[in-house]
Amino acid sequence: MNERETLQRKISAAQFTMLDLHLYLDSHPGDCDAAAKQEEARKSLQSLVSQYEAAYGPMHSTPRDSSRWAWISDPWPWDV
Amino acid sequence: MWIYEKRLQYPVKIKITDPHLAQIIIAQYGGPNGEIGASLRYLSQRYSMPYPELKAILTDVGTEESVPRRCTGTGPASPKTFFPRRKQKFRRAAAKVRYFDGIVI
Repeated sequence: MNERETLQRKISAAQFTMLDLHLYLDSHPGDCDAAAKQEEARKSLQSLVSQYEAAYGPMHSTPRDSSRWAWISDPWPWDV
Repeated sequence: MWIYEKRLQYPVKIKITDPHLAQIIIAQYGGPNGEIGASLRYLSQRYSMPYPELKAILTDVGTEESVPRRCTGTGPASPKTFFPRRKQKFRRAAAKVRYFDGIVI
């Protein structure tokens, strides 16, 4: 696994944690522990995504840290 | 509206190709009992849901079931994997447009 894939995997893990806690919090809005965990995952996701975008180009169509023009560059997820 | 992230939710590595399995997977995705249908049902049910928690769940699960976060379209059943190169371009275009760009949340 190269560096890019490692980073992608970390991003996937953080994103999954966030989504799962998000679903849980829908039905358990009073659970402060879960909310704190989600906040933690959100922060780590944010820094991982910035790191990824700085190195490999934008991951979102409105990137904060990298060039808009790199959006059109290969590879797309289905090309890899 | 959906927001696209230029990454896979889960890493996919295809080692062998199997058109029959591809057909089954793609039916799980866009078939009569597939995820797209489920997604749209959740997203329409939420309009008549009286409880706020459940409105949120129907919205979030409907979103989850829908396309952008799933690997199917780019994964094992992807047109790229199973169809010969010559047909690939057309099939890929058709699949992407239908399954990916046509979904409105």
